[in-house]
Amino acid sequence: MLQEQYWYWLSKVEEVGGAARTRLLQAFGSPEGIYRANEGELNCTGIAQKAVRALLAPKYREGVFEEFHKLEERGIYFVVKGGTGYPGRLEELDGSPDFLFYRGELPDEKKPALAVVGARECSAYGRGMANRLAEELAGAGIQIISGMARGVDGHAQRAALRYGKSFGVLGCGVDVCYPLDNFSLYEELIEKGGILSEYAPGSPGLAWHFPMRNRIISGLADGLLVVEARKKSGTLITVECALEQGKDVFAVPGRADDLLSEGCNELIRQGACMATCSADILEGLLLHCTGSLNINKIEKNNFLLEDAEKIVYAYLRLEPKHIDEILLSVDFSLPELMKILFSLEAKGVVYSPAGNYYALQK
Amino acid sequence: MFSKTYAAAIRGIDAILVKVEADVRDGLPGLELVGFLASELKEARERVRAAIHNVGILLPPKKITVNLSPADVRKEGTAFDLAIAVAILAASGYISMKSIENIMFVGELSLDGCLNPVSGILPTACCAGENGFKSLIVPFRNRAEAALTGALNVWGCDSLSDVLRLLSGECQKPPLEEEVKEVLVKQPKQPDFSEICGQRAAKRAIEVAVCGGHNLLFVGSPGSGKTMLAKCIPSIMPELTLEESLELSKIYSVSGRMPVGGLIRKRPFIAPHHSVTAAAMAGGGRCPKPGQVSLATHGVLFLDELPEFERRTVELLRQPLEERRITVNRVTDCCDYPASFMFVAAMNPCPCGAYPDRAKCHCTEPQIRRYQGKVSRAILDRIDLIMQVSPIRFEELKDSGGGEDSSVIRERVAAARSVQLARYRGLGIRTNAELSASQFPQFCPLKKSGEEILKEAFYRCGLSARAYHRIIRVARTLADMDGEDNIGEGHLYEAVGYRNMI
Repeated sequence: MLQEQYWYWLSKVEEVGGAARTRLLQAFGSPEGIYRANEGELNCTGIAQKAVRALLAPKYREGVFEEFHKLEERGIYFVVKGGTGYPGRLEELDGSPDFLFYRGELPDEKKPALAVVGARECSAYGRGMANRLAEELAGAGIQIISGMARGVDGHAQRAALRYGKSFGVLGCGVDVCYPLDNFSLYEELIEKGGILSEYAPGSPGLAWHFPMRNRIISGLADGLLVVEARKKSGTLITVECALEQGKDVFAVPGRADDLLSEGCNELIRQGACMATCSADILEGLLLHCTGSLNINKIEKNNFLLEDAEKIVYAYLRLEPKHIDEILLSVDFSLPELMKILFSLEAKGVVYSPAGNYYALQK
Repeated sequence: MFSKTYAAAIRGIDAILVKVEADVRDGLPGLELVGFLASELKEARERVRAAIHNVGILLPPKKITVNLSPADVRKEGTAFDLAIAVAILAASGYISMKSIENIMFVGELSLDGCLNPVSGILPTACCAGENGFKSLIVPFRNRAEAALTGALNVWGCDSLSDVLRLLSGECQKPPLEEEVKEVLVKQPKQPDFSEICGQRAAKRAIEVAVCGGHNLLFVGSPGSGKTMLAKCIPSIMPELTLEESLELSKIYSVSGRMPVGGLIRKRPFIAPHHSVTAAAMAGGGRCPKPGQVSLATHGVLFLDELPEFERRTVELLRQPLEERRITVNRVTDCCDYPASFMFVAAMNPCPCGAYPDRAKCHCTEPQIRRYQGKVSRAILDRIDLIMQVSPIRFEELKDSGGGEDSSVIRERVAAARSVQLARYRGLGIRTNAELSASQFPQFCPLKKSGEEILKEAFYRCGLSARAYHRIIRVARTLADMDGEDNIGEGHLYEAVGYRNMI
């Protein structure tokens, strides 16, 4: 008996953190034991008074089991460590979550998975590389795990969903969309992949949740890809988790003077694998991977471009260029160029990050 | 004895006739001014008494009453001094009644009898002309401005004694026509487009905006030349017509900003600092005066660093942008001022200004959104073209001087404007920017292929309905610039290129 409903009750008691929970489990053996313990017994464990009061508080107890049984109606699933469905990759990890909530589905155990993380305020280069790598890797059957944040996370997951599967690990309840800008991604993830969290439904994204969920991001994957990171970036917490868990770390190199790539370059210096194309990562992942992988599936995208479009396309880069700059290098008038850029945008090859700047999508 | 003279009071940018009546009779000696007067006008009592005394005339020890009629209109300013003095002197018998017939008097008196210049001379002169006066006596330094209407004999006098000599026929001063003509032809130098290196896209956007009367927003990092570009805009606008020039000059005259003599022939470029208050922008004061929006009439109102302006100040632009005039209400008065300007604004794309260059810009997306959100939708909806300006590159600096002259561009603008004028004759609008969506089917029919382009843009860029209309208006202007009757595909592609970023 896994006592899932008691686990659910425990998950809702926000005041009890990871350390206190471990101590309680040691003392009472099971969540049901904790549920049935009285004040004196709880006090004996030495946890904070606030936590004791919260454990006894009726607000967490009333209707909690009914609520638990209604979770599935809301499309939310609950798995407990050691129970069926709990991700095998997390099972052996140190400090793995006792339980997980998810919507959609969980990552396939048999298929390789890669965590992709990076700066929230990424550059067009970061966005382009995340798009390019995630798309190709997802196409090759690799599951992309990330945190659904702004910037690299979101771009990688959107790109991955176009050709394969992706999973988002949240720092809030699975029924909460944070950040709200990524609502469309959130919905798409539920439909085509999954949303996971160790926090009870409805819990808000608190600042200290996010470093915690990073261990799940790296834990669910076979390797970690860092696309862009500053020297002191939150992304590096995920890298630390990955290293502790013994996962391979890949980093996309950047220019020496690029602040946004400083963290990545430093990682490479310390021994991370350099990732410039999807093949770099596939090679590294295959060494660890038990599942089958269809590398041939990666296909070069052959856009059907007209001659004029090819000229402009050849001049564009991942870094945005202003239309004046493009005008200087190509032999088109402004109206002609705008027409070409319009159709390049329509074909999904080019996008405009701001006003009259244009950059390659990937 | 009773006498009357005439002066004029400024209301809005026009003047209304004011009759100054003086009555001298037996009674307790004293001078009393009545007729709903502002405090500076009540003080005229002391000025007039001293001035008369100091030109060597002793007023009789009688009760003198001066009334400014219509007595229910509040009058202010110091321009009535001269009319009051002349009326008193006529009522006391120092001047013959006959000599002051058909003359309007304007000017402020000093204690020593000198005449000081006043503001609002041009509307006063217009008022005198309309009311059938033959002559206008003004302070010497106002004479050129007063002569602009051309319909009057204008005499500029230095002092009260000059005026008395003139009235008694001792001397004659001819109107100063030559001087005035010289002022009319003088064209001050403006920044020219040939001075700007590179910025081809931005220059094109400006040309389109001026052709169609569209409002324009520049977005770009500090130092990318947004202000310089904006300053050149008046140089490609069509020349002011005489009517426009007169209206503009009246506004400047009323606000006391008339350049020495001469009608204003140059389109104004008004760039208030972002600390400007709502009252200074719209016009105000206890008795209203024209604000920045009115001073920019027929020219450019340029708001640099748009998000830094107080929201209230920017919001009040809605009425002038829509109706091309502004109504200023105050306790004592309510005035309507013209405010028909081209609205040009500039802003940074983000708090630091470097976006989308992420190597320099560390602003987070919410920060950027918050910054851009300071400019309200309502104002953005009234801006048809939004152009991102990039910092100038070395290659562009090198081939400087390759740009076109403003005069060349101005000819193209004039051609495009005349096409619009002909098309909208009798509809009460002059430019494409004023087109309403209901007029689109008539003036901006789209072909099937054009609709496809807009559909694509609509879904891909997530356009709002208003942005959609903006694109059609701009495309209409582009077609007019090419001299084509129908909007073509190329026009739509380009119009989408000037779509907004926010």
